[in-house]
Amino acid sequence: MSAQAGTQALVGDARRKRRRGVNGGSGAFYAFISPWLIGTVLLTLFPLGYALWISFTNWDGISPSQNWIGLENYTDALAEPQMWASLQRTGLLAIVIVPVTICGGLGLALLLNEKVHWRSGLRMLVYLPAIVPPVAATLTWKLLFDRDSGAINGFLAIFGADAVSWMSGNTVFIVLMVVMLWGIGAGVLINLAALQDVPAELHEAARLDGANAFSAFWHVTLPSISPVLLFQVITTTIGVLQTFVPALLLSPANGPAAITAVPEANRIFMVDVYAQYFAYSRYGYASAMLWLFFLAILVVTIITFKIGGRTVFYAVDLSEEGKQK
Amino acid sequence: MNTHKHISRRSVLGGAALLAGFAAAGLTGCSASGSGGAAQKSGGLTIMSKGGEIKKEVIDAWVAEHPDVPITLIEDDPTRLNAMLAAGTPPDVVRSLGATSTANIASRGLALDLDPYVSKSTVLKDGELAKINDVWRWDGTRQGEGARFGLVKDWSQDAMFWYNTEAFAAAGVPLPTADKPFTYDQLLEYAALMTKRSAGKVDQYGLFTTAPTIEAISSMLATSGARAFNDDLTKVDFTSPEAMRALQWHVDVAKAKVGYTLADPNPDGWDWPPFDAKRIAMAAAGYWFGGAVAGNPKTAEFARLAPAPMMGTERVSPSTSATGHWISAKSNMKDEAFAFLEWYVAGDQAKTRAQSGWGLPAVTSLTSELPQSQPYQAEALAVQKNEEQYLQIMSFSPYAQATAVSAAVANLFPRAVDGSLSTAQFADQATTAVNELLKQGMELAGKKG
Repeated sequence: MSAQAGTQALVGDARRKRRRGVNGGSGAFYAFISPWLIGTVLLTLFPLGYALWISFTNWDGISPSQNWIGLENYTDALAEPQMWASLQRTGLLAIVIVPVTICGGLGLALLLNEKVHWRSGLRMLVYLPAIVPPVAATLTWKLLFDRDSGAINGFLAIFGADAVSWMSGNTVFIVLMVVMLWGIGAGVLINLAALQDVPAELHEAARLDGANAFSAFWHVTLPSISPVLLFQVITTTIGVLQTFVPALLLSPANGPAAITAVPEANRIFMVDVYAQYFAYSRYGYASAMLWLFFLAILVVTIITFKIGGRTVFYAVDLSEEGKQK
Repeated sequence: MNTHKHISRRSVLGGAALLAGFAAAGLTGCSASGSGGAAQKSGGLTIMSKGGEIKKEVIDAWVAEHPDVPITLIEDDPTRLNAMLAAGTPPDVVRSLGATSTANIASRGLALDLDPYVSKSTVLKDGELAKINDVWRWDGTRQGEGARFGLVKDWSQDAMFWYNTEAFAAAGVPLPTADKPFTYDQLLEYAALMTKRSAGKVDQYGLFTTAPTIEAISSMLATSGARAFNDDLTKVDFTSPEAMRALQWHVDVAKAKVGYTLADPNPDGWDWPPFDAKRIAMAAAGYWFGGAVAGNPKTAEFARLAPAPMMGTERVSPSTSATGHWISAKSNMKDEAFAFLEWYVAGDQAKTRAQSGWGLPAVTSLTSELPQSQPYQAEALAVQKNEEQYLQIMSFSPYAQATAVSAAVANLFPRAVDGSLSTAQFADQATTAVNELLKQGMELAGKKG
């Protein structure tokens, strides 16, 4: 056997071993990952498949029978003005919340990255609302915005303004946005970490080249933290689109009746889905709505990735990394 | 020889899929076996109720008398109940509103027929059960007739209301009496007189919280001799003159802004907090509200109970809840579950509850236990005793849940209030939406929609 053939045989054997997971490390890897893997199959893939099955039936959640109705739930959902209205509200929420959260979080992070007095205390104050349980935060805002006894109207009264009915009509949508923006501190923390990871020599080089503060931010800081910003855009978008709990908690009713009392302005998509499941007992229809929404989120995420791929700057040159391998 | 056990990606993925398959089959199997009631008889009774109602001391008292039948209490949660029913492992005893759930649970075979148990009972003699228990009867077409599928816990006539005598006196509004109830038009007129505002804030609303629920509409229609549902309970019609009038009244209340409505929701979720704080002059509640009034001596001075208002000329005062419990048809502890119900609705616990004033007892023998030491209690009891002759059992459709029907109507209500929909359009669209729900329920029940 020639030396070349011997080398090829060794390489081939190594590849086969790697594929089959011969070494002990591979076994340990799968052993460690198996709880997650099994959990995903049982608690995500199986429910997804089950919801897909239900979406082709007219099941009401408690009846013993599930009649197969094909694509009727999907065609009904797509023809239902209420679904489009709730989708529109959800889209509006995302259009407002995502940019404000990202830009606001970045702006605050830039400020808190400066060497100022009480910097640690200020950082803690900004981050604090993010660790307050969302239920407690939402209920507190609900009390603050109460028309007759809330502090917001009390503050407005100082300037002679009449009390506003915040919790009804379209104004309750503003309350929902305030509640959601209250947790902006989580993004600030991520941006702060990203800002501190920007190499100082890049800023020094920019300064030597005569760049002012804005130029340095635009040409150095922003590209350097762009992968982190893309991550935030994607996770915040998905999170906002799936918003449910704050809208439900802002409902005037408590308990199971809460879902039917959510003001129209706050009937965002997941509220609509929940109401279809548990108020109207339309399990099949609600499952179809969820699957349509799942596909919509998938499309939004792919588009975000595509756009992000063109604008995000990665510090590692992937082509160079490929060559080394 | 290589004896090392390989764990490959393929085998892990395959194993996970296999496990999921077994789990899926297991779940389906659970469901299937559940329908046959094959579960083991062990672990005591599982009761789905409200923690605030069946308190720890109640459970302790039961276990002291029945040490071999422990109780596991799970919180009343429709979502969880649906999941448990779907899995074929429902609780043994379930709390429900008999007025709106009896037809649904009985026609689906979920609830146990209690007649054989009641006939054998030495505690619950048929003649001693208050008439309200008939709400839990269902003969396949009508409520109030046929087999008994549940027992009332404590009850009230829910279209009645409580009022603040001081607010009425201040506005010069005459007080309602037991034999001369208000009309709904009078309520609207008087509520406007008692509503007080300042700088955009409402200091006091005149009327109780209103919502066009199927229960509220049905109660109003009953006083006109009309009904929302047709004879076989397969359809509703909100376009009848009586139903349109009831819907119009709710729209008028919201437009007049004389009480909390869906357009201006009650931030407290129910009427006790604002009534207690004198922020509303009337509270929508039956006799049971007296239990709350007892907690505040100052409120007890001005709180009085009024008979159910009338839209038409016929006095009808239904119970739109008739809260009680049913036993699952799949329970494997049926005898123990019924023993618990007997004990809970007619035993010492029921006597204690009757004495508290939080509702009327399910058995007539405990009526004498109702509180009457304070003036408001004596007057409330007198009004209640007179009102009982107007109790009427209304049939609710087995093909939809009350929450779903009410939600379908509530969904359109804001547009009727802001003028986007006329009352006729509101009635028409609500009828279509609810009939669609009923049609779906009928299809699932194997009936032609």
